Amino acid sequence: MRAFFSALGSFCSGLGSGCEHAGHTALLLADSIVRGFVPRQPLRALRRFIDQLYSQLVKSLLVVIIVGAFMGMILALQTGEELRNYGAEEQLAAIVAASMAREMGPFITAIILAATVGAAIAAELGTMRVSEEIDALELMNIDPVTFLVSPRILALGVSAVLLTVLVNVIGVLGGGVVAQAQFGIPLADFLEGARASLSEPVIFGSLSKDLYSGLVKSLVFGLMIGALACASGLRAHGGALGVGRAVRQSVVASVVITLIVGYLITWVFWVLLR
Amino acid sequence: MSDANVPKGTDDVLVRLTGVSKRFGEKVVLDGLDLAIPRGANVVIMGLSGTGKSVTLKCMCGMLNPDAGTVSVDGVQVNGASRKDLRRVRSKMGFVFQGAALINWLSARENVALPLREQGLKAREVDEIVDQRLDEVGLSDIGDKFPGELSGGMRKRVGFARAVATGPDLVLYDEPTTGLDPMTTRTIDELIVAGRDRYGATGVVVSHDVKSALRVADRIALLYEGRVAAFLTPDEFVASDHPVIRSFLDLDPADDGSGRRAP
Repeated sequence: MRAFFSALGSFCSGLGSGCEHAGHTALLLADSIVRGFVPRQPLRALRRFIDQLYSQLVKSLLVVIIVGAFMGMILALQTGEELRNYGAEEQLAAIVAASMAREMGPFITAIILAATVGAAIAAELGTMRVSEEIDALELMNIDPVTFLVSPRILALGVSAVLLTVLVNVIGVLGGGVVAQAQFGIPLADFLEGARASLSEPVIFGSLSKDLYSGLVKSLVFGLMIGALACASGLRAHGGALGVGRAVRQSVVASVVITLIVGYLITWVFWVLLR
Repeated sequence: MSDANVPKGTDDVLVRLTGVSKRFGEKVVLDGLDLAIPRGANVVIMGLSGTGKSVTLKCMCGMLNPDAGTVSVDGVQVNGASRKDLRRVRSKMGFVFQGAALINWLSARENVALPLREQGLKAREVDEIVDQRLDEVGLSDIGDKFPGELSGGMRKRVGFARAVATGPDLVLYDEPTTGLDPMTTRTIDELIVAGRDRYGATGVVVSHDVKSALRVADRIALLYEGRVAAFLTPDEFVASDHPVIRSFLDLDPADDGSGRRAP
């Protein structure tokens, strides 16, 4: 009985701590967005943002290209085999394109960003916290949110959108290669089929719902991964062990939240706003 | 506040701690501490490990809030201060961290320039001051190096240059000589004295290095059981029969590093 209550106590304590962390992350995200769009020193803020954007894109570009290509190839292979049973191979391009644009592109990009950029941010800020660098900034009247957090979170939002576009393109190309090699569908026909399926219904200029719902998803994922990574890093304590804990916490929370929020956004776009 | 911890004949107090208490969980670290730091003096806070030296320093700059008591710097109460007041107090304050706490992805120059840029100085003024400060700490040729490329002593010197870059009224030093060799320790001690003599800054140094304390201090405050047990000049400190002071001095009684010989 004592063990049960002890376990229950630990669970409740963990839940409380998790809620507090979620609250801190949400406040940090809101604070960063406000300060990012209304900076006190716009030129310096822009430079920090561009530095971060460049570094984040460089860190994840190669992984994104490889994973995107193979994701499209796997999708085409699995779906193509099923479609062949019904003699409906001509639908392959539309299914691969829609799957990549709506779900796989944003999700894969988010997972890669959480594991590469998010982990790096949590480790960097965690190390700065335990080595008193963040205290030093505060004592110099330099706001850590403006100086460190805001450029990282906003750049991660933009990186996620740009990389999702790249993953979508690479994924469709990878799918096209498999479609030609395995199912005899000419690459040009596959790409035309993908383009046609992503052309309607058009909302927001020339973007179809498949595309813009996926891009909104990746923007939200990017901002959340950035906020979770920064919050975990800023709250790190206890030396190297604490930094490791912050990185793990950041990656685990990012993957779980990406799935939950991904479902909610899908529901909003494809059920609520049908 | 107790008059015992204010030097006689000194009315101009820059930092005043009155009845400061601080506990972490069950552990009482500070227990009604009273201390007054005279303007323009170097005061070294000494004590055994875990007696609250660094906690006292962190209360002075508002990084920690005491559970009871007040901390004021230049007449402004730091604990419970508004953000604006805290910014104003900190703009006249420099802090030298034990591990230097330089921003790792900025060069030594950029680190020293950070607080100056924050004060809105023009690029040319910032460059002039940075050159001057790096020259004064003997590091004019390493400005473009990053903290990871510098030795521990060099990092401390860059940390000192950054702390005094804006010409602060008060510089707080957290264990500035810990882990350094005797030669580098002496260099850092000279910089702490220069902080007072050249820049006119009041210094508060947390240390357990007796030799270093005797070299730089105008006054030495001994923390014991959460309070200031003694507030003495270096000569009085060496002559004191307080058991904790004796235990400090008796570790190396023949050489106190100041030319004075401990009895």
